[in-house]
Amino acid sequence: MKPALLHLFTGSGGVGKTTLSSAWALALAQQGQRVALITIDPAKRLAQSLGLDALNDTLSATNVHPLLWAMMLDQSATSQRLVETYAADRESATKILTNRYYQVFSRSLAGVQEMMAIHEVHEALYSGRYDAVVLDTPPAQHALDLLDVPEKLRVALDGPALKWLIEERIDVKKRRGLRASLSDLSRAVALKAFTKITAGPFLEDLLQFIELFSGVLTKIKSNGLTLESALKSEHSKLWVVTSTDASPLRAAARVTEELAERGYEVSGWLVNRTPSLLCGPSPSPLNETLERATELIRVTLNEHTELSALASSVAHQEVERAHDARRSLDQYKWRSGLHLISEISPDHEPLSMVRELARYLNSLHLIQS
Amino acid sequence: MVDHHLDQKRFSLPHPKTLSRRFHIIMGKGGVGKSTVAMTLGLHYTRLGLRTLICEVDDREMMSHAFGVPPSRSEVRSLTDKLSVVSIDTQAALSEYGALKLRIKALASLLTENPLTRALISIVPGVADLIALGKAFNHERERDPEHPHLPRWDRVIIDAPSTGHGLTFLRLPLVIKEVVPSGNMRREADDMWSLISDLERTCIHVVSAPEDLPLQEAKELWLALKQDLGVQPQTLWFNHLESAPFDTKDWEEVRRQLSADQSTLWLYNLLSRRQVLGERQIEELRVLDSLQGARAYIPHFSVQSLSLLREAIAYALEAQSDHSSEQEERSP
Repeated sequence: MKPALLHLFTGSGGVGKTTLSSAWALALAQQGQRVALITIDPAKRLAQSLGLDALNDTLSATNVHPLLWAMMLDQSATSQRLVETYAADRESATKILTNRYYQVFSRSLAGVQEMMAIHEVHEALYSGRYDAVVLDTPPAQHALDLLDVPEKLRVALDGPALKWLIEERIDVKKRRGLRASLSDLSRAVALKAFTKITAGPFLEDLLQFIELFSGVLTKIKSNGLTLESALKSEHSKLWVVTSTDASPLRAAARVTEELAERGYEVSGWLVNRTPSLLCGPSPSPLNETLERATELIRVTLNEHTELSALASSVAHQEVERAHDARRSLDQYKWRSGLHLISEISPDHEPLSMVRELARYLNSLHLIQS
Repeated sequence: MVDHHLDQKRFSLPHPKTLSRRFHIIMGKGGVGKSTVAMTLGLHYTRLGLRTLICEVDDREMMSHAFGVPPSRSEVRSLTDKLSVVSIDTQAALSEYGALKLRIKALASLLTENPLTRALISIVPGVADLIALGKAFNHERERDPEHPHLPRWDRVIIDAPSTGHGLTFLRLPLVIKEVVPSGNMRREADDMWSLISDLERTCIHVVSAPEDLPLQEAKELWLALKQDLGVQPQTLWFNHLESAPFDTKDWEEVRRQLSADQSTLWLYNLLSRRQVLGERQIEELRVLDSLQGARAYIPHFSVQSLSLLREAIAYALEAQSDHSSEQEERSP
């Protein structure tokens, strides 16, 4: 069976990534594809406007388009499901869920969302129910966290550290004497130091948690590896979202580089909220635009001296803003696959923003199945 | 009813009472400008001659970029005479913490360079955050090496990780208080929590940008801090504020002259962006009217680099202090 095409969106915060990826999913649905949209840690408001219950963490129909399904990965609901899905059996699932360490940390387990996202994306890709899966990840640092999960797990699970930890727990339980090897000595000292810092019962809980949870992790690892190879194949598009501001652009360059180091190829940059003066099939040179604006203001507002001066200065500032954006973008113009997404008039309501942007994306013919 | 200072062009700091706290935690979703707020506070305090440390928890090293100094890489680095930054790296922070707590260096390195520890940090969620938070607290407690009865820092500012993660970050000491009955780590957590929840010593800032989703998220964060953690955020920042350039009558005139004809519509659209944005923002900010706390405003600075942003903020602080001293002179 052919897997669905995966579109992954990454980029720094504040560039409108969630709205853009939602619009992307909608545009795909409008082209007749069956689309699964998965977003991590979104504003409840966006979930509501797509017609989703914010706490519903399975792919559900939306009220936007009949071919668009969506889910919002919410931290609290997610970790229990992860354990229930992946624990070896019911007994170990119960053991994990009643473990004291788990109980307290499940609300705030960093990394769990990434693991669950891997699970959900994997399911959606190979279910045969969708033609495309759109994944919106948290800001840059964390998108890499997601892609690092398989590697981290591989190192942690296959390396000596985890076995060592689990054996240590058995040792502690059996109260075996120390064998006189250096590694045992270092282990004992480290453990003693840990016990001193964390207090005994906590450590015991923690070790039990790791022992049980490692079973869960092993299964996620194999999904993660499948996903990793999907992401490196022609079945995926990896988009870096940025704005025309210097700092998100720098972050985009860094993420692209880090992705390349890990063997992922970026499909392109989506430069969101680009000043509209720079967009369109053949934007006029900015100085010409300014001249035309000044002239037109002089002609039409000639009876109002102050107003016309104010209008000229606003026009000037807008052109200057486009100039700044142009200059920032020029530093990256050697890159292939730089796509300018024009700013659209700010709208009150997230859903109409998504609709407007989807219409615009379809007009760009940027999205291909 | 909250007064939104309809003259948004003016930059404005929160009420001085909140600024007199020593420990500042800056919270907010990614991209709203937490670092801008951290920088603003840092520059404000150094103007007052206070020794200030900014702790960055992610590895973007924004402050070093803005001040044109080499990256901190988990060493305390001076930005100006009074202002310093430290970028907290988990592994480095752990070694330092281990050395501090265990007092014996060899023992500490056995601990921190141990595969057990590595495994813990890489697969047990929460550990890295805890170490970062712990390091920030240690800076709060640092004494001046020359005058040990004084703290080394008059102000410590933490630029926290973004929302979901940021809450996790602050929740950690609370979690430890729940799980760990005694011992070193428990004492640490007790100390941390009593600092975080002390309104006299700590000020929690929530940062928002005036767009629909970021404002909603700021509200969710504010309420989660109160309800889930039981701490009271004290200051609400609005960053990236645009002001509508035309008043209502003038804008009506522009609309009448330019919007009717196809040949002038492009100009109308060009002029309307900031007008629409400015008018809308005033409306949108009302979403947060119900939150009780001091307000602060930062206009949208149209600058293309962090060092220009730093200059713009320094200039705004200068202008504001000129303005307030003028007012003082005027009042009897």
